[in-house]
Amino acid sequence: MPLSVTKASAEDQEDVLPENGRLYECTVLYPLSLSQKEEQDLRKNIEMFFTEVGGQQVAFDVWGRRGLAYAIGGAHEGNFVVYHYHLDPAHVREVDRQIRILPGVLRHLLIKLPEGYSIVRYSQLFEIWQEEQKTSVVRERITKEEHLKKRVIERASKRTVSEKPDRSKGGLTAQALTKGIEKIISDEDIHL
Amino acid sequence: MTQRSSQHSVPRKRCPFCEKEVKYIDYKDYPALKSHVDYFGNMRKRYHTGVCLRHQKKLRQAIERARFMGMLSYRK
Repeated sequence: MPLSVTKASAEDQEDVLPENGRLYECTVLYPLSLSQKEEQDLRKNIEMFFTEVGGQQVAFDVWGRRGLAYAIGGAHEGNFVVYHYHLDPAHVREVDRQIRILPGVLRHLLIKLPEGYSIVRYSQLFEIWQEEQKTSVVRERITKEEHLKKRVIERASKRTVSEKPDRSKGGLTAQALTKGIEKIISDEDIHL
Repeated sequence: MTQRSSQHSVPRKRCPFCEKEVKYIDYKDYPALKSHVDYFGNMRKRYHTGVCLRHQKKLRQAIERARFMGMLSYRK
């Protein structure tokens, strides 16, 4: 379980971040239907909002194509981009309002991060997790198939064992009957 | 009675977040959140998962944020 969390290394962050302001995280979701130009413009606009206010970009993570749990604005898939900015708290509302108005954005979330938060790239972690899931699913399938094969073989062997004596019994009785009848018919002493 | 209760005592579940000394639960961490949400999209109660109250509250916030961003469903 890759937890986001962290007994955080405050020393590392102090090196990265300037003294004023706080660390904020902005996640933006936009639809796949946007062209590359529109996508670039959108990202530039969002970065502009932060830079205008004096925000400093700390990290930037593009998740790429992701399925959505429910349709948002008619879109079942979208692109996620996660920005980490060091920003003055006084300007957060303004930036939030500007992103909300921006056309092409399905959802956005601008949140304050706790002190000592270490930035994690979930795009990579998610891919690793997906691969693990796939391998586990494949393993389960293989084990299920093997189990089924075993069961089929067992059933087939049981049938052959159970059917053999029945056939032999049936064959013997029929033969015996025919022989007996023939004997009776061929017997000269008996007058039918 | 005391003997009986001691015989049938169920070991108390430990909070998986406390064991890892988690201070913040991230809403972007889908694999971590998924195990605390059932098939219908409802949050699993801490009675079943063993999560402590402090982390349950943080988990709730993370799940609500993930729902808002379309990473988790509200209801299936």
